[in-house]
Amino acid sequence: MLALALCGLLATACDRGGRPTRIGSSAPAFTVSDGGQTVSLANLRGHVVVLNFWATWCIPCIEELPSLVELQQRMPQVTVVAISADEDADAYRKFLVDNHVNFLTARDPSSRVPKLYGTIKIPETYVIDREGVLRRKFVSAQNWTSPEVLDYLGKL
Amino acid sequence: MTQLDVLYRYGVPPTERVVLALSKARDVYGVRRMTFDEAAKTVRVEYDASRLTEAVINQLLRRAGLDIVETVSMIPEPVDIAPPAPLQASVA
Repeated sequence: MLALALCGLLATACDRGGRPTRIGSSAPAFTVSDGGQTVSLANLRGHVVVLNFWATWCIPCIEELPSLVELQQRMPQVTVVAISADEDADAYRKFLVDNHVNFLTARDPSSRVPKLYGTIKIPETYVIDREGVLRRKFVSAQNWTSPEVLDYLGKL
Repeated sequence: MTQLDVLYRYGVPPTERVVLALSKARDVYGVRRMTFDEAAKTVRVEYDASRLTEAVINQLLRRAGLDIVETVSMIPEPVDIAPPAPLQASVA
């Protein structure tokens, strides 16, 4: 019975149902500089990182944004990093100000970083542990302040 | 996955900038396919209803700059069929 439950749990470890090939391996290193902000994954070693791929025109991405803001407030020991695919720099900056985005963000209009992670659709989010290992992948919008997510991140 | 289709009629034909923005909208999880019919001025979107709602699809297209005029029903209009004439008794 326990084995069956464990199998079920493992099968649902990723929202897509299968286990993405990169999970368990080192997160691809990247540095993004958009003129206003530079984000380098190497500088975040020792922190749990929630790496979110998004864009201001992506409605589901915007829907999950408030919970990412709240996650950053409630768990300052976790570093939320959002990489935007926006091409319009002005619209992107205005959005960040208007929505009081309090976490680390950078604009990557060429989508170079998402491609490193094999991301072709957004929103998509990766959890990277303190050792820089990819631990989990979330596809589509999530509630980042759900007890399950907070519990999971708190245990990393 | 629950796949649904929605059909919109648009007014102003999309410009090149709008078409580019629409192609990006396809990068959103749950958007499966967009099919334009230029002659009918309609766009049909296939989406995963377990991830997105019709309202989100509508917003995505509007934000991309598409001039949506109305949602078009995809259920064909029922054809009026005249009721059969009552049978009349005939006496030989």
